[in-house]
Amino acid sequence: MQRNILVVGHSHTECLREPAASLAKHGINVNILNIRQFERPKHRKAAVLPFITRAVAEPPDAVCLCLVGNRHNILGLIEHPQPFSIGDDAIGSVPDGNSDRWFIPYNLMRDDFLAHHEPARKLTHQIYNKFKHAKRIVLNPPPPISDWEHLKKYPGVFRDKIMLGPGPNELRLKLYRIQTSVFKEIADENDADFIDLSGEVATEDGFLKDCYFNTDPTHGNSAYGAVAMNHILEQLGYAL
Amino acid sequence: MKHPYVGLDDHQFWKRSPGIIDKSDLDPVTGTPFKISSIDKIVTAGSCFAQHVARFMSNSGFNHYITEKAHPAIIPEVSQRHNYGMFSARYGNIYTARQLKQLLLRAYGEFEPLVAAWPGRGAGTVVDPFRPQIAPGGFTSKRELISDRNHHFSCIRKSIEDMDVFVFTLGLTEGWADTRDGSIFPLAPGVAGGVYDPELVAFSNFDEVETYNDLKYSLEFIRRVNPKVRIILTVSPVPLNATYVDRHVLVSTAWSKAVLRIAAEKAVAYFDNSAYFPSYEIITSPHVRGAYYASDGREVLEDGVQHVMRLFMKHYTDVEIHVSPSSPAQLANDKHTQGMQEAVDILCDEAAIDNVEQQVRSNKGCGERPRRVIAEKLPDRSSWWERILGRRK
Repeated sequence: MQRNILVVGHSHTECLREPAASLAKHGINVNILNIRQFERPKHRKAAVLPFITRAVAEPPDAVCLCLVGNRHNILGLIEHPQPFSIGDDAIGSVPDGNSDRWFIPYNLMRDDFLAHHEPARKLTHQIYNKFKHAKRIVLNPPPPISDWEHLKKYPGVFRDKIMLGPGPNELRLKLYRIQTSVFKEIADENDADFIDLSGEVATEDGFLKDCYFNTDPTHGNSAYGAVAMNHILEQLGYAL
Repeated sequence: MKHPYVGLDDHQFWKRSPGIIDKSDLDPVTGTPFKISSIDKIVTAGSCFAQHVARFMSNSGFNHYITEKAHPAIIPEVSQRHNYGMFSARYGNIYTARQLKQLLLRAYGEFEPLVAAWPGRGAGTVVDPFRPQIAPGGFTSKRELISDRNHHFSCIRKSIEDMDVFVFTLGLTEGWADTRDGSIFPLAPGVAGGVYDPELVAFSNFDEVETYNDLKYSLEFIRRVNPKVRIILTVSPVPLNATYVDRHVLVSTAWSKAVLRIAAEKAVAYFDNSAYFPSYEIITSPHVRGAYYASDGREVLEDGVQHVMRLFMKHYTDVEIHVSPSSPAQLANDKHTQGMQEAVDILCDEAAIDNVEQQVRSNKGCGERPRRVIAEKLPDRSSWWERILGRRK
C-alpha cells in the first residue's frame, strides 16, 4: 500500500531528502517541499499555501512540518556586538553584578520568538487545515552547533561576522530551548506530534554531535535527516 | 468706576476667552518661565496621561530621554509590549507622589521594601510589586526580577542625573501600603499579581498636605542630584477608574484632582525654574464641552492630547517641531541581527538551490557518494539508516 508523507518547511527539510528518496521502494512516498524553493524574494510576502497545494498531487497520509527554525542561530551563533544574556540561574544565564552583558528577561525574549514565529504559526494552521485528514507532525530543527572550528571552516555567509566570535554556549542553548518551546506550543495548538531529537542527536552538553554537521554552521546533514526520518516513520507506525 | 479688575489681561476674564466660541482657541497657558530646546533631555513620569505626553515627546522631535531600552535584537513591537520606551525608564505608571518619592529612594539605595516579589498569574512566575504590569507574563524567578530591577534602578539614576527637563503628571491620591514598612504599591495586591491580605496591606488616600510633602521631598531629592533641572508639573485629566472610598467615583475623582492640583500649585510656588502646565484644565474645561473624552467619559481622545501638546509646543519651544500622532516610540533597529537574518536567508536559499542542483546530479547517476559518507558518519550502526543502506547493497 502506497503511503504519502508530505514534508513542508524551510532549509531544515533538506537533510531529509536522501533518506526520503530511499523509501520509495518501500511504498512510502515522501514529498518534500522546501518553501525556499518557491518563496523567492519577489514572492516572499505572498501566500505560500497555493504553491503547496499545487505541488501536492496525492492527498498526504501525514504532514510533517519543519518551518523556519534558525532564529536561535540568528541571535546566538555569533556574539552580538552588544552581548546579552537571558533567564535566571536555573534556566539560563542571569548576569552577576559585575557582568557587562545586557540582561534580557526570559519572557521578553520568548515573546520576541513568538512574534518572529507568528507567520510560521499561521502557516502551520493553514497547512493542517488544508490537509485535514492527515496525521500531523512538527519536527523540531536541530540543536545548535557549538564547534567554532566548524564555523571557521565553513563560514559561508558569516565570513564577515566571525571576527565577533561565537555566542556563549549557555546562551545559545537557552535560545534554542526557547525556540523549541515555541515550536512545541505550535504543535500542541494543532494537535500535532512534536518530534524533538535532542536526546539522540545532541552531546551531553546539548549541542549537535559532529557527525550530524552539515557543511555550514546551522544545518543538520543527511545522517541527521536519517535519524529524523526514522522518528517520523516510528511516529506514524510505518514499518519498513 | 475704578476697581481692581480694570486693566487686567483678557485671559483673566472668562467671557473674553476666545475658546468659548471655538474650543480649539482655548489657551489657558500664561507666563512660561523657560523654554525647551530640541536637544534638551526630557524625562517624563506619572500616571496614564503621562503616557500620552511621553509618546508625544518621542514622536515630535523632542529629545524624550530613554535610558532603559530593550536590547536592540528585540523587535520594537515586542519591546513596546514589555513597556520599553514608554517612559524614560521602565517604571510604568507612577500614580501618587508617594510612589515617586519611594522610587527615588529605592533607586538610590535609601529604602528597600520588605517585599521584593509577588507571585504572578502564571505557574512559578513572579511580578514586581512596584510595577506589576511592566513585564507581560511576569519574571521567571525572584532572581531574574531582581536582576532586571537593579538594571532598572541604574537607568533611573542615569535619567535623573542627565535630564534637563522633568515632566511629572500627578494622577491619583489613592494607593495601597504595606502595613509593615509603609511601602506603597501602585495597584492593590491581587489586581495584577500578589495576594490580597488585609493584615499586610492597607488603603491610603493621601491628602493635600501628604501629597505636597511627598512631591516637595521628591523634587528636592531630584534637585540635589541635578540642581539645574527644569520642572514641569501637570495633573492628569483622566478620572479615577475606581475608588476604594465608599462614595461615588466622580466625587472621589473631584477630591483627588483638587488635592493634586493644590500640591502642584504649591510646589511650583516653592521651586524656582518650575512650571505648572494646565493639561487637566484644557481637557476638562467647559469650553470643550466634554468633547475630549471618549464615550466612556474617561479616556482622553487624540484630539484632546493634540490640543494639550500644541499649546505645550507653542509656549515651551521656539523651534518648529512637527506634531505627529501619539503612536508608541519607535526604537532603533538592530543592524547586526538584521545582517544575521539576511545571512541566514541567503544560507537557507543556497541550501534549497544546492538541493535542486544535487537532484539534477543525482538524476545523472552521481547520487551514491553522499550516502556512503553518511554511512561512515552514522554513530549508531544498528540504526534504521544502516538497514536501508544494507538493503541497497
